[in-house]
Amino acid sequence: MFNAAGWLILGLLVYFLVIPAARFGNWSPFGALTTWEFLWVGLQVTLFVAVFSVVISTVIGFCLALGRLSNNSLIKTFCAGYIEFMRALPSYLIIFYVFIVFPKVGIKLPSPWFAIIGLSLYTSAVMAEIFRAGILSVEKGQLEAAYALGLKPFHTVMYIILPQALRRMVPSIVSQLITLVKDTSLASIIALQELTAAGRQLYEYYGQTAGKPIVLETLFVVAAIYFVICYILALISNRLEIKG
Amino acid sequence: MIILAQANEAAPAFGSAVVTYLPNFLWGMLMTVNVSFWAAIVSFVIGLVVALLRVTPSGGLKIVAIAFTEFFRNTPLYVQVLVFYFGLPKLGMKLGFEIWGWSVSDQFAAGTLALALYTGAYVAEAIRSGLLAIPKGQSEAARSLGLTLLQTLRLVVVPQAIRLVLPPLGNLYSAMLKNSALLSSIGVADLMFQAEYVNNRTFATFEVYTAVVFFYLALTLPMGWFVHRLEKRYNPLRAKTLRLQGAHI
Repeated sequence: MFNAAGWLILGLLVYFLVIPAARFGNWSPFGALTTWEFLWVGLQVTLFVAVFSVVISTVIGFCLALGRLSNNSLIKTFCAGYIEFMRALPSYLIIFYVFIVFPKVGIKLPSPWFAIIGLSLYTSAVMAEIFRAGILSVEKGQLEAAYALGLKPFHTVMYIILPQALRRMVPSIVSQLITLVKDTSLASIIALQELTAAGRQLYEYYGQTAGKPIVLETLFVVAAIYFVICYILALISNRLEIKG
Repeated sequence: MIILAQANEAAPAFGSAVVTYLPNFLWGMLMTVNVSFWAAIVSFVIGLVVALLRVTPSGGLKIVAIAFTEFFRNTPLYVQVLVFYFGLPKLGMKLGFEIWGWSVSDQFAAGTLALALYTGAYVAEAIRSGLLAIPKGQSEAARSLGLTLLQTLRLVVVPQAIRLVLPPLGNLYSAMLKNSALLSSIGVADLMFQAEYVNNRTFATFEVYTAVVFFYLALTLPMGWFVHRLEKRYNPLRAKTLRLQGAHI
């Protein structure tokens, strides 16, 4: 009985949501190549911002994690303070702050770089916590054995701790990557010309010129593009998790 | 004296904009809490339902639940907010409503709903992993004692899972409070929105947004502390490594 009800609900959803959307939506603008070219320009900016933010925030996050684990209390306090401070703030506020306040101080950069800075400030703090938790999750005996063998702290981390910690960190790192890709859309609220902004301009343009509005259709396409990127990342994460 | 006054007007003391418009910021904080509160309730209900759908033996319900979670987790919250605020009215759906003399604006309803659905997908995953962590023998024993599926969930599985689920949920809701900042883009009068308003009136950009940073800290730091206490209380052994599985939302 339960099973049949489930399939019935699924059928009703498809019948009343998916089929009308496909039949009555105004999909004609998406038959034109120019629409896709327009979205592709936006997607390029999204990917550019995401890739650079990932690289920068991973490097900074790793340094912060090591700093927080170091014995030097000054470095430790600074890194811990930075991490807790940034993690407690909305990423939207940080991006906004960079976009609004940096130009006032006299720092002039192309807008993708403002987005990269803002996202990296936030993501590096989260990455740092992931790295730290990963490093701490390695059994203490490993560290002691490495020291007993005479390895330097740097080599211990690079050759003993990290290879073991990395496997445990992969799911967290990838889910933070997914969050990062999604967070690039926040920059579009302010000034960045990326995928979501392109979609918004597209439906605003079609709404002003003649023709049916294509708000939902465009947003669906934009969401689908984000979905494909994020879902592929999630699948890769699952594969790595099973292997590791 | 007149010259002094003019000089004061030309360069008001640092922080005066924040002091003058303090009520705006406080109202903004209240709105942020308000949105988060309602979104938390709605998202918990959604998450619970979806998680239960996913552990039922029905294939169709499972597909619905998986589609829901994967869609809402893998698309940006901002796009979802746009769908609910700009997209649904095109279909003739307005989300604002009135209840007991309180009118709920379109912005508030759409924003809260989007936030709740987005967070609900994560809540569902958190609850599901809590449910799956309960040994299978527990539910099998309950079923063999003659309890129905719903009774098994209600009386045996859920009470045990709550302990496992509470700390991750705390993380999620703390992240949700931060995510609510972007609802200012559709006109929910939260802290970010009020900051923009004050900024437009005073042009004291630097101090306004610096103040907003501290207002947000005043909201999120106590919450983070509370979550940390939850972790310590319910999962003292895992509290250290739990951040590894913290909320990336």
